[in-house]
Amino acid sequence: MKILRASLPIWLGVIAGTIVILALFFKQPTGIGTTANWFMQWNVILASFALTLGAGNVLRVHGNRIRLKSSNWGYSWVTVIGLTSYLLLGVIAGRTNTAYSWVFDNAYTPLSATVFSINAFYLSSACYRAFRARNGHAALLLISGVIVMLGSVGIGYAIWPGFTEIKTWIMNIPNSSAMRGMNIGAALGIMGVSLRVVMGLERGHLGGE
Amino acid sequence: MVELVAGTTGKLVFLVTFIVLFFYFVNRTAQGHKLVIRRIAGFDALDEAIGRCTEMGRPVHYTFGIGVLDANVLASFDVLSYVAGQCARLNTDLIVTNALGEVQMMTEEIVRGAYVNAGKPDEYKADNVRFVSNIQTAYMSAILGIFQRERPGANLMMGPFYAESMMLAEAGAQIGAIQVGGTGRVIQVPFFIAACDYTLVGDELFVAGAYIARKPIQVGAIYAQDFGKWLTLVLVVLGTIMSTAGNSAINDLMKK
Repeated sequence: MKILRASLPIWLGVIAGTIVILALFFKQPTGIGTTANWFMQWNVILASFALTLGAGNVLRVHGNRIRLKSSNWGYSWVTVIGLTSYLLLGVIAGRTNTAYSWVFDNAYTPLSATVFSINAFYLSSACYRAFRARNGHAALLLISGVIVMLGSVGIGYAIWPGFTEIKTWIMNIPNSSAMRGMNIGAALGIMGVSLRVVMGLERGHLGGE
Repeated sequence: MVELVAGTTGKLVFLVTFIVLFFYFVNRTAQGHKLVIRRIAGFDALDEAIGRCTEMGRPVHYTFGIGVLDANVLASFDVLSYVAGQCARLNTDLIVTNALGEVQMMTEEIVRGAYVNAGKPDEYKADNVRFVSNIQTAYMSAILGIFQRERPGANLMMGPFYAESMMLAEAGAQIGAIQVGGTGRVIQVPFFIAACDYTLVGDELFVAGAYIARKPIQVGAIYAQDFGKWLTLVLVVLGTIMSTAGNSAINDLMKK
């Protein structure tokens, strides 16, 4: 059992990771590509099964709240009924059923759009806080932010056509350079973490060893 | 018979160089050479955030974002392990929300392990490690609800974030939570910078294991990453100068 818990996951990671990396660089032998595809398909299959564990967790957490009548337990009923009824509808009637599509189109889609639309207000309030010129850096952020905003809308061009040119320069030169620098750093970081996992040196995902 | 995929020779050379550097520095640390990592404010702020929650009697909220199980999540596990350990020691509730089904079991194991290591296995609350949804808007709604109902004093967001970064960070700021954000998805970093108290930029999230746990092997790996950065910088500068002078040798090497 100890081998199963400690060594097997590491070796599976080492083997799968090495084969998938090799398949990126080598066409031959053909077995490498086939095995890498096989591992990646298994990844999708396992992730799909894992979703069931997630649904189980939702039912357990909210079931406990209802059982113990914790605060706001009424909301838990909404979650449990919503999850189970839509699941049953999908399993019994099928995904092409009209009722199944109706619930998706008339409940999920508008609710989803509503939640997303709140982002505009959050973005505005975040900009307001970030753009307060408390120090030199914040003042620089404020100035460049205002120029980019004015350069992106028609009224900015109407006030002064130079806004558009300065905005283009800010986006293409300092912004692109900084983003590319961060991207290179992040890519190297990803390589570092991936190598540590593939070599069995990173074990945080095995329960904080 | 071994045959290379066209256009990957340059990348393979870079990867092999990186692996050689990686082993060199891991060996150096294994032999007892002390390698130093600069201070990272985002990680130093974790104790401050958890301590604040303890004083206020509020929970800590931790989430990974909606992306797939990748290097961001693996790096985030080290941070979660540390945060869970500190919460266990300080008797502060930790709420972990998850959008990734495949990560749920690992998350439970990590948090439970941290409580066991802190000598408080009975304090672990399984219902506080919650899978909320793998759908972005449902995931955001669930966390916004947690913010309003359970009022966490700290909001820690480390992992592969997409558009939810802005909404979660700003909602966290509005309930007065101290916030630390970190992601390798560079496009989301500006949102964290605008709304969070501390942000891990670029590769900072990926040094979590080395910085927080001070594991020597991982510290060695960070040095390899830094050398990789220098190597990239040299290639960029050299490539720019040579291209300007009409010599495309480095460009051709990277395209091979």
